[in-house]
Amino acid sequence: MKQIKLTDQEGIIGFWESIGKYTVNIHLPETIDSMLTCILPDERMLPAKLRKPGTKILLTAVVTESDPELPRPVLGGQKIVEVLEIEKAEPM
Amino acid sequence: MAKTLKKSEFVPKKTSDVKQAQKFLSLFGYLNPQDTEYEGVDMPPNPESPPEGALKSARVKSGEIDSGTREALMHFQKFYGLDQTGKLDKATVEMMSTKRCGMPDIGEYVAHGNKWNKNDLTYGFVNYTNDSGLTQAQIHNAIAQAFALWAAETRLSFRRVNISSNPDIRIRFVSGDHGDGAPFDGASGVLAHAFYPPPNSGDLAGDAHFDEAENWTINIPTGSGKIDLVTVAAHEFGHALGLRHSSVNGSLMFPSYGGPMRELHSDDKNGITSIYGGYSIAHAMWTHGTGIQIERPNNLDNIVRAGFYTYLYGKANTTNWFHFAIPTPVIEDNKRLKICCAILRFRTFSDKAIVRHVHIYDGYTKIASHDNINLTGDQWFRKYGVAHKPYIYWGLGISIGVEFKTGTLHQRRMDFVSAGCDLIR
Repeated sequence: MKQIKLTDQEGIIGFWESIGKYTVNIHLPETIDSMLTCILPDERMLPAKLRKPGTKILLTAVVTESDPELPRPVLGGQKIVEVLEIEKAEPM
Repeated sequence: MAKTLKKSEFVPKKTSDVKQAQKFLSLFGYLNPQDTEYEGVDMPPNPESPPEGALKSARVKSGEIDSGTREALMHFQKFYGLDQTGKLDKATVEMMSTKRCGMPDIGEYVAHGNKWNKNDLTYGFVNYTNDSGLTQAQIHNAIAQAFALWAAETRLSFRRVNISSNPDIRIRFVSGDHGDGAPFDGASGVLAHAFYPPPNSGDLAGDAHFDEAENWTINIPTGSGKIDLVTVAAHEFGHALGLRHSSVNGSLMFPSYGGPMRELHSDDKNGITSIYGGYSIAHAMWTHGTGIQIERPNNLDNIVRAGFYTYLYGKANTTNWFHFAIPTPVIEDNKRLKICCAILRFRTFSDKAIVRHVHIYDGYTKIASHDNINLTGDQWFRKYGVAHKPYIYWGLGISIGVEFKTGTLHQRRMDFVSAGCDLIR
């Protein structure tokens, strides 16, 4: 399973209703709408105080895109990954 | 290098088969779609060619294996490891018939996979922005202009309806968390986003959201810190129709915002037609450049109606409107026709003569506005879509708004070659 380490990435908390999961959305700079959507399989990976859509955080985490169960992108420019482990999630 | 075929390997082809192959080659990037745009008619000659050069046949003759088509075939054959015969031989025809997935070999657009299962789409506004003093009417025009880019290349139409009519594409200006799972992040981050066509996105499919934290404008130049609404809208509508990002820098579907862009790149056109196909022309009507009407003759230094076209020399620091009346068959075989797009052929000789606006009329009703397009230089085939593709009733007119700045007489020259329109059923 290919894993990617994200370090100190600025992201924004979202909640994907149709799958019932929290996400961290990381915008790629200098783009109109390119976005890495990191799905948190378990909401407890995120401190309760951060589980609020729209909250901006700094994220260090290990993610993977290899899970075949990951949903297809729904937004233009979106890439979906799953969070395996959060090292740091701090409010900005 | 072309290889000589044995007689048994050669598959004689009817004109219709060759046309089909040319369409295939165009779809998959081996032929520039513009080269095959004229169904069975020569490509428009460059007016600057000497007369005999201007009458020469096009690079691609529809229905014939000419040099352009042969070249494209050899390119295709090389890509697939076939003998480069430049002919529609058995192996080539077999390879073409297996290529059904729609993904390009050349060209960098990417289709998401979802598409609308109908051609006539509706859109509506949940709300508006008043950035840069924009009025609702201006926003309506800007969004229609963005849709018109895609309409001009396909059989898709886009009609504005009231939001209570539950349109296919809902447009919102919102900031921060707005309940769709992808909150906006304030000024200068994500500019906008749009959901792909059904089914994956559920109720949100096709919807386009614009970050209200950005400073939207329709003016060009945009001014510092402002974002062109037409450009970003056209990009988002590309996603709403099923296009992903392209790796072609300069295409509308390239991920980055590089300033205002009021036209599709050939890669964008290839992408959208790979999903929805092009349109069938019921009638293509043209009028010659010498028929142009001038709204303010006193704002011209000179006008010359030559055999090829009309030369106009605008006075410095003036604006003018030039009008074409297009002979319009509104009914054919007892059926009323619709307008797909207007087409202009013109050039300006410097940035001292700038085409700012193109408006399209049916009788006295304006049916499309392409504003702030800021075109200079050679424009030998420029399309202007009509997003909602209405039935036509009273005759089509095309009005072109031009600004002439300070410069030499030659710099303030522009030539109109001709104007036309594509009508559809």
